[in-house]
Order: sequence, then structure tokens, then C-alpha cells
Amino acid sequence: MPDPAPAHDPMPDPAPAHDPVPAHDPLPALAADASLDRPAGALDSAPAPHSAPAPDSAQVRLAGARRVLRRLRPTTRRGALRLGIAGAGLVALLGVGAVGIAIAVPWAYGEYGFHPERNAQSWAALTPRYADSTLCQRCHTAEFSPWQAAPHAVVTCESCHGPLGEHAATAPVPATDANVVVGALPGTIAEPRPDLCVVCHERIAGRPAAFPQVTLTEHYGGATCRACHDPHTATAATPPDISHPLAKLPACVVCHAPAGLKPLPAGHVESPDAVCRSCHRAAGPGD
Amino acid sequence: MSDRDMMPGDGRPRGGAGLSRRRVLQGGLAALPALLGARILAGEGPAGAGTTARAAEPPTPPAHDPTAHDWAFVMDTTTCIGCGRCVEACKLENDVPAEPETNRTWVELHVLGRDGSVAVTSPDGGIGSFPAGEAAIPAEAVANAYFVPRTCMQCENPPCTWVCPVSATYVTPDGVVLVDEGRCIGCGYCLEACPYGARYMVPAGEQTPKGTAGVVDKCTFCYHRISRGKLPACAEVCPVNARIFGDRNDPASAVSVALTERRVRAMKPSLGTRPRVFYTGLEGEVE
Repeated sequence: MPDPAPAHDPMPDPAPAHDPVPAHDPLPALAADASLDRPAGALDSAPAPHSAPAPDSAQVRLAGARRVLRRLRPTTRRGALRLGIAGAGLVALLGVGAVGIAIAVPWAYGEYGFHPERNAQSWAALTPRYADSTLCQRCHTAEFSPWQAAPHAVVTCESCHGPLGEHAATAPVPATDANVVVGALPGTIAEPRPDLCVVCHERIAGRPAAFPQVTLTEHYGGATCRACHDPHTATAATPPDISHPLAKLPACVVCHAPAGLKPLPAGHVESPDAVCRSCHRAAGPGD
Repeated sequence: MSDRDMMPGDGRPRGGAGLSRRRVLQGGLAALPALLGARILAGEGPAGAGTTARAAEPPTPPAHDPTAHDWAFVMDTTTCIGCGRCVEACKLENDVPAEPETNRTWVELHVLGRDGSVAVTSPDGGIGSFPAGEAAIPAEAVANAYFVPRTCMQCENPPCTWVCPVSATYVTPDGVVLVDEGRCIGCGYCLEACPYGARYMVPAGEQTPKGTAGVVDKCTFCYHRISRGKLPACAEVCPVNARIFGDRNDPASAVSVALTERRVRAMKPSLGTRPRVFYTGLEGEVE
């Protein structure tokens, strides 16, 4: 208990005249402590004029509690019985409450925050629709092998063919392969859309320049992509060179008309010569 | 002093005690079935009731330790070609409604002009690629243009879970923000809170993959696929590997390598949401 210095009034005094340097006092908190401590310590010797009434009220409260306890203590057998019944009732109430909570609150409540973990499990339990390409090679070896070696190997089967998890799970497979579920209903693979190549390979703004792409209006537009291009190997069929001289001949389509000398092969449409010769090279040096 | 005086607590509502106790017990007994019903409806109904289409197969969730993973995505805008196969795959895999404005994932075309202007387009969410020759900014004025695959950022500090008044949306230990569709009341607060616009309200007449209507749905990182060791459907079908998904706990995973070796940035990092989806080649001004 620091003895309050005479220069500092231990009691907080609003008058600044008593505190010589209120703003620059290095130990203002200490002085405040001293002022607070003083009444408590002063109780031993002489009651300070402004001593707090707290000890008295505490004693009063303690005495009140003792009185309540004394009153609760049963003095008769009947009173003891009642007290016991009341206690048992309280325990039973807590028990019912505990059972109620156990019923109302899921067991996993709180594991992931305020929700049952089984919700996350139910999300995880959904069945995938897309399988993965490794399943396809079990049957589709003719397409799978060249695809694996081609530039399109980065494009998975289902990227073009769509979700095939169900097909892979139900389609008949060679009997030796025990890992695949053999179902009764063979799935069917829908033919890819004729314009599917365009989705990736059409030249549009924003597409990385290094990616192979064509301007459709400048590319041969008379046939489907797959008339010339094999999507599995990602190679184009090599068009045959023109096997005859072109000098003094009319336009290609005059002879290569549907009813002409040598009709256009399937997948071709009648086009200007320039379009034909964008793929078919002329044979003679003079042409 | 009589007994009654000695035991004020027991005798207080002497006349009404029996009646009150009976009422309490009756109320409790009546409440128990209600509590059970509420638990079935709220906690266990959605998981078990699996009202429609997609029964779990196998019926139990896959063996999956949600604490063992730290999922993350790297979206490579330098290779994305904007084909939109991811958008289609997501819709097919997750029963996302066909409406063009309801998407768990979508692709945007960001065109930056030399004058600092920014044009962001996403026709039908980018499904089926982008139209050619339709540039918001003339080609000669374009400074940069690239495709940005968008999805839920699966924030480590997600605003959507904060605002949900019924705690229906939560973060799994492996870092996926999911919606407890049995608890969601469809108020749409999370749609407003999400800075990335990653959530949608299931339209009238449509359902979530779990057959729930009138609730909010969002990307789950294909939780049913990743918990089986598969890639999310969008990453599975991406023909250019622009969507790099994996486990950050595995330093050899593609996503760990990408995060280590590529210069990546999160979207809107100043919001402090700490996304799990990162971007390469993204310029800050187009967020």
C-alpha cells in the first residue's frame, strides 16, 4: 500500500489547483490506484468517511442465503419427502430435456458448422454421369489407339461424345473383363453434332492465336468437317491431285456435275474453281 | 411456522402445481413427435428422401476423407479457347437447368480496348462457343482479348455463408462451399452477397440434382466426382486443359505445380474472400 504523497491528493479532486501537473503526471494510474486502495485498507484502522458500503451488503447477502438454506432444510419427514420429490422432478426434467435435444438435434450437428455432415455426404453420393476415357478402351480399341497418339489425345472421349458413365456401366463388354458391370441394356452413343468441330476450331476473337482454327467462310464449306478430317487422329484426308491438264477446260463443275462426266464424290458441293483448287493441286506445271 | 412457511419453494403455487405439471408433461409429450417430424424434415429428409432421379449408386457415399484434401482450381486464360464444352458438361453432369442464366460454371469473353475500355460478354454462358465476327470493340482497338472460365471461387472466407440466415450453406473440411438444400429457404441473400455471381436460384419447375425445388444451387466442384478421385466434369471435358484441378496437399498434383510455376492471381483479391480458384493471364481491370 503506497503511502500517498502529501503533494498528491490521494482522493480524486476535480480542482486542478491541487494537482500541479495533471496532464504530465508520469504516474497518474498509480495515483488513481492509491486513491481506490485507500478506503479498503483504511477499514482495518478507522472507517473512512467515504468507505464503500460493499462489505456490508455482501454480509447481508450471505446472511440472506443462509436464511434461505435454513428455510429449505426440512424439519419434518413430510418436508423431506417434498424436497426429495422436487429434486427428483428437477432431475427428471433435465433428463427429458436431454432426450429431447438428442431427438431434435442430428448426431453430426456441428461437425461442419451448423449443419449435419450427412448433407455433404449426400452431395458426395450422387452418381457421376461422365466416366473417364480409360473406360472406353475396353471396347473401342479401333478408335482408342490412334486417338492416344494423335494431337487430339488431350481431348477426352466424353468431351465430344457426351456423358457415357451409364453407357460404360451397362454396355456389353468382353466377358473376360470382370471389372465392368455387364448390364442388359446396351447404351447408345449419339453421333456427334456435325458442327461440333466448329465449337473449338472456328476463328473467333479471344481464341489463342497458336490454337489451330479456321475462318469458316474461307474454309471449304461444302461438306461436313468429317468428310475430310478424322476427329480421332486429328488429320485431314489428303485430297487427290488433279490428274489431267486444266488448260482449255471449262469450269470444274461442268464435267464434275452430278450428271456429268465424273460426278462429284460424296461430301462435295458445286463450287467455284478457286475453292476446288484450294485443296486439289493441279498436275501439270503449266496450269 | 407451518410446513408451508418452511418450504416456500415447494408450496408456492400449491393449488396449481399439479395442473401446471400435467400441462407441462402433456406439452412435452405432444412436442416430441413434432420434434421428431422436424428432425426428419430438416435434418434427414433430403439425404434419405432423394425424391427423384438420381439415387446414389452405390447407395452409401464413397469412402472419402474430407479432411485429407485441399482442393483448388487454376483456370488458364492463356489456353482457354472458349468452346463452352465445360458449360455443357456441367449442365449435363449436375442437372443444371437449361435456362441460359442458370449456370454453375460459365465462360466469359473479356475484350480490353487500347483506350482502357472493357467489354465482357457471355452469350448463353458461353455454351456452344461464341459467335464469330461479333466484336464489341473494333479489332484494331483491341489491346487484349481472352476467355475466362468462371465458377464458384469456393472461398475460404465466403460471404455467402455469413449472410445465410438459416446456416444452410457451409464449407466442407476439404474446402467446398455446399448448400444444405433441406435447410435452404430460398431467400436469395447469398446470391446478393456473392461478389462473383456464382449462385443461382433454381427456377420454378426445375430441381437440384437431389430433386429439391425452390432453393439455391451452386458449383460443388462436382463433389460426387472429386470424392471418388475423378476430376470435376468441366475439367474432365476441357479439350485444352485450361481447367487445372487438384489437391494442394499433393505437391505433385497438376494444380500444385501450376500454382508454383505459373503466375496466378485470384479474382477480386481485395475483398479478402481467399478464393480457391486462381487464374493465369487474368488482368485485374476486367474483374
